[in-house]
Amino acid sequence: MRHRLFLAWLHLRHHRVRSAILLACLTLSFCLPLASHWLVREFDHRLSGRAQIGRATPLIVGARGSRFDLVLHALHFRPLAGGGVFDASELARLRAAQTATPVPLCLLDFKSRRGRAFPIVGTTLDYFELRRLVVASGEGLTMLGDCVLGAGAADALGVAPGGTLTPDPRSLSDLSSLPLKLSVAGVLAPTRTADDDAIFVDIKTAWVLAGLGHGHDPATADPAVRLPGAPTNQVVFNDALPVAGLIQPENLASFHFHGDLSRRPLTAILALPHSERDSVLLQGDRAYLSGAGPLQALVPAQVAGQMVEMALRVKRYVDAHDVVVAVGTVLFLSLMVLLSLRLRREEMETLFALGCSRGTMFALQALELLMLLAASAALAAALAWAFAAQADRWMRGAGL
Amino acid sequence: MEIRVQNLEFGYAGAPGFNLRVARWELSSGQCVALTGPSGSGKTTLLRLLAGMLVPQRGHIHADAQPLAALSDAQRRAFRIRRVGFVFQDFRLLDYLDVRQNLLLPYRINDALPMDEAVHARLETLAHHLGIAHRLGHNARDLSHGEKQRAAVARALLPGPRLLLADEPTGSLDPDNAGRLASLLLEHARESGATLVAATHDPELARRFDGAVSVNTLAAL
Repeated sequence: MRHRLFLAWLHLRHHRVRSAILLACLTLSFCLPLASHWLVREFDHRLSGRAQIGRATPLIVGARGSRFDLVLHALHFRPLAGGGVFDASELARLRAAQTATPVPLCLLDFKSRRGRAFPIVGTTLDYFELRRLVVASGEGLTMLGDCVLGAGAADALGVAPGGTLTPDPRSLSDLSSLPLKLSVAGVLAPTRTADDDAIFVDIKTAWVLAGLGHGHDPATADPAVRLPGAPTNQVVFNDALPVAGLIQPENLASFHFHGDLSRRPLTAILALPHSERDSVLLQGDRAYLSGAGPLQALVPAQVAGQMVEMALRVKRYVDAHDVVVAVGTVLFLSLMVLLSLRLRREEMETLFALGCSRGTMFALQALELLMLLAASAALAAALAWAFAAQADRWMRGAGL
Repeated sequence: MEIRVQNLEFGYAGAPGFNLRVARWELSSGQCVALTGPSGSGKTTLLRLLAGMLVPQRGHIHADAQPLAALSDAQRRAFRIRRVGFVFQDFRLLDYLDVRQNLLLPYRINDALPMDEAVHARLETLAHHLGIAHRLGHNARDLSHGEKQRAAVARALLPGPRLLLADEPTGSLDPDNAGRLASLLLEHARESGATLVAATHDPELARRFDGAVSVNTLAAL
C-alpha cells in the first residue's frame, strides 16, 4: 500500500495547480456547512445559556416594546432602542408580592477614550449571586461609587483594583450627567459572556451617574458661601457649593437624591420566581398582560428560542446553498476524474504492460482522491475552527 | 525462454481489415530475432501477444512449454511481471516520476516483485552501464531523447527478464545512439541468456541480430 500511496502522492505533487484547485473546491464544500453549523450552535449556546437562570422559569420585566430587544438588553447588555425606561416602583411592587426575587438593572453606556463602548450595569449584589460571578482580584461592591469590572473590560481599559474610571454616561434620561469618578473595587474572573465586558455598579451609583443624585465635598467648600457667624465646621449646602467628583467615606453622607424616589429609572428587572407556580402567577400578572400597560414580562428562554429558530431558518437556506455547492463540487470532481482518466490512458496502458493489475490502477486513482478528501477535510476542520474562534469574537463584539 | 507459436490468429474488434496470422514460429532460448514488416502489418500486436497482454482468438503461444492462452488474467500478469521485459516505441516514461522512480515502477506496482537492497544495487549498476547514473534524480521529461530510450531499456532490464520484447527501440534515435542501444540489448540478452525479439524497420539493426523475420512471411511458414 505504501508504494501506491507514494505514487499517488507524487502524481498529486507533480500536478500542483490541479491538486490545489481540487483541494480548494473540496475544502470549501466541507467548510461552509461546518462553519454555519458551528456558528448557529454558538449562537444557540450563548442565547439559551444566558436565558437559563434560577431554579424556576425566570422572567424579564421591562418596558413594552420589542421583546427581542428587551431580552438582549437584560441578558447581553445590548442598548435598548427608544429608551425603554420604567419606574423603580415596579421593583418595590415585585418585592412586596414576594413571588420572586427581583434583580434590578439600570444600564448606562460608557465609551472609553479609544471609542469602545462598555455597558455600565447598575444592579444589586443578587446579580453576582445568580450569575455566579467570582471576584478574581480586589473585592466586590461595598460602597456607593465603587465599580467591579468584568475581566474583558478591565483588560481593555487597563485598570486594576484601586484605580478609578470617569464615565460619561449618555442615556437613560435627558438629565445632564455629572463627571463622577468611580473607584475600581475589583475585577471579576472571566466567564466568556457579556459579563466580561461590563462595568458593574450598585443601582444607586448608576442613578448618581445618571444625574439623579449627587453629593457635596465640605473640604472644598468656598468660605464665601458660609453663613456669617456660623462655626467653621458647619457648611450650608446650596447651589454655590461644589458637587463632589469622587465618592469617599468623608463625603458619602452628603450624597442624596432629589425628586420622587419611586420614579427613579430602571431598564429591566430579572425576576427569579421562588417556584414554577410563582412563575406562572407572575406571567399572568395583569400589569404585564394588558396590551395597553407600559410593562411586559417575558420568559427569556422562549424569546431566545424564537431568535435561535430564526437563525435556524436562515441556516436552512444556507444549508440548501451548501448542497448546491456540494453538488457543483461533485460534478466538477467527476469531470476532473473523467478528464484525468482520458489523459492518463497511456500511463495506464504502460502500467498494464508492466504487470499492474486493474485493481492497483483503480487504487492509484482512488488513493489520490482519498488523499485530497482527507487533506481537504482536515483543512476544512481547521478553517471552520478558526472561523468559530473568530465568530466567538464577533459575537462578543456584538454583545452576545 | 523458448517460444513456440502455432496457428495463431488475432484481429481487433474495431478493425475488421486487420488479421494477424502466424502459422508456425519457434524461438530458442537466448535467440535474438528482429521482427520486420511494413507499418500496420502487426509487429506490435505480435509482441503484445508474446507478452501475454493480448490473447489470440485462435492458435497457441507456448512460453517454455507453458500455453499462455490457458493462463488466467492474473497468471498472465504474473508471467509478464516475472519473465517479460518490454521496451516501448515511445519510451512510456511517466513524467511525474524521476528516472530512479521510473526504473523502480514495476516494483512499486507489483507486490510480486520485492524491492530490496539487491534491486537498488542492480539499478545503480545498470544505470551506470547505460550512462544514465547522473540522471537518476532528474525528472523523466528533462532527459534527452537518447537518455529516455536508455532509461526505458533500463526499466525493462531491471527485473532480469527471460524474454525481452522491444518495439522499434531505435526508431527515434540517431544512428550512433541506435547502434549503441542495439549493442546494449544484444549484450544483455547474450549475457543473461534471455530471448530478444525486437520489432524494427531498420535493416542495419536487423542485420545485427541472429536472424530477422517478416511478419508477412510468418503467416506462410
